[in-house]
Amino acid sequence: MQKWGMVIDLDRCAGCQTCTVACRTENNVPFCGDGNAWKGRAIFWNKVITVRIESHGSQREGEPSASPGTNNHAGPRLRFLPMPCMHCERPPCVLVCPVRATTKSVDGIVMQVPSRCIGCRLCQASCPYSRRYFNWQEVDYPGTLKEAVNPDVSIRTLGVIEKCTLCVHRLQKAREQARDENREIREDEYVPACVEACPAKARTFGDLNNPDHAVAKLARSPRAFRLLEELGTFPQVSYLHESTWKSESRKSVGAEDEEEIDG
Amino acid sequence: MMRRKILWVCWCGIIGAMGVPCRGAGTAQPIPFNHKIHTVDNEFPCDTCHRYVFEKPFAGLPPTDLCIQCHEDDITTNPAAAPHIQTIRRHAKEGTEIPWVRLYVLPKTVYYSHRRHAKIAGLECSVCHGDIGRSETPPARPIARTLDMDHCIKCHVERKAEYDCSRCHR
Repeated sequence: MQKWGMVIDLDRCAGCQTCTVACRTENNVPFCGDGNAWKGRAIFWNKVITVRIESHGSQREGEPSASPGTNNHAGPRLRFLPMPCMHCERPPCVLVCPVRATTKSVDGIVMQVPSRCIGCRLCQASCPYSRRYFNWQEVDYPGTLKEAVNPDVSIRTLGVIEKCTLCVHRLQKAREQARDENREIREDEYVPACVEACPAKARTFGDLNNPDHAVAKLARSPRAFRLLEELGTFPQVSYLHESTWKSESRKSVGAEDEEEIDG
Repeated sequence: MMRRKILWVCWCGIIGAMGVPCRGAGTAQPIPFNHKIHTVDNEFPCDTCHRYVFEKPFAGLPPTDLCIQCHEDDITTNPAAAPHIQTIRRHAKEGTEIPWVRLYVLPKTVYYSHRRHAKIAGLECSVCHGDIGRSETPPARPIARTLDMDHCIKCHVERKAEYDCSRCHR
């Protein structure tokens, strides 16, 4: 059985937000309007978080650059952290759902069934990555936007939780095609919209259990790390980084950034 | 006594108002299509008219072009069908589609594929659609509620098919 997972190379990510836009259009993620955005109710299945690193390398403020052309500048550096749902192997949200509206599928996708959700928001409270969003208002697509709605994805109603499903509607189609032709799903046949759209090719997607897939090798590389690993959620989305910025960001990231990651 | 009479009239009105649109929904086909003549007497398989049943998620309703291929000539001997044949020809002449009413509508949170069930799993149409293929008139009552999730799960358990949420919900 497959275990779908993603690897995001943070050294490649330029923070262009293409994944965010692709995800919004693919999954009919609703607009929340001005008022709700101010209250922090904007919905982003995939969000690119900016991490501010105060000093980089050994460079101190005011000192001239050691060698011209290198990246060692004195000011704070920004790093980008794209955050889809982590699709944990032991998801806290699934444990707390009282109506089993969210389940761990057999191939590793943390599913949300919006028609079953009662909107109690326990899962939202339990998610350590804050990857779940509540629909605070009925979705409205004004004018021609209605024609841009993706018919493959249901439109969530008022009062239900929604989250990244790794574009499960694409998996359903790919599985069907593969079954019809009596073969396994190919690596490039099923990729979520964010992976497909990334212009820097920072994201890799595939089956973590299949050693032929690139994602399985990347997830085991020494560069790989997972967010909040110490919680024991075993995320299936891993990150790659080359430099020491992870440890640096741990040291230098202020309380506000940590808060944003932790929710 | 008077008050009771008024209440009684109101009650009948409410029941009547509820009943009328429900009954209309099932019988409001533009043509009272006779499945039996086509599938039993003439032995057409279902995918003659529901053309995408083995290829696509949806089975498809017959377009006017398909009807007119046979009904351009006077092949029907039944005089009761004559006005309906005229309706088909009128639609063909005007280049419009016959406004068939879909009887089976699933919720939008469900991905149901005819190809997966009819072709890959090889199920008979009657497993879900019952005897509609041998009916002589459109059903008198709406049949939208006959297919719910219990129906799906029961069959999936019986046939040992997967019933993971991610397979159908989206």
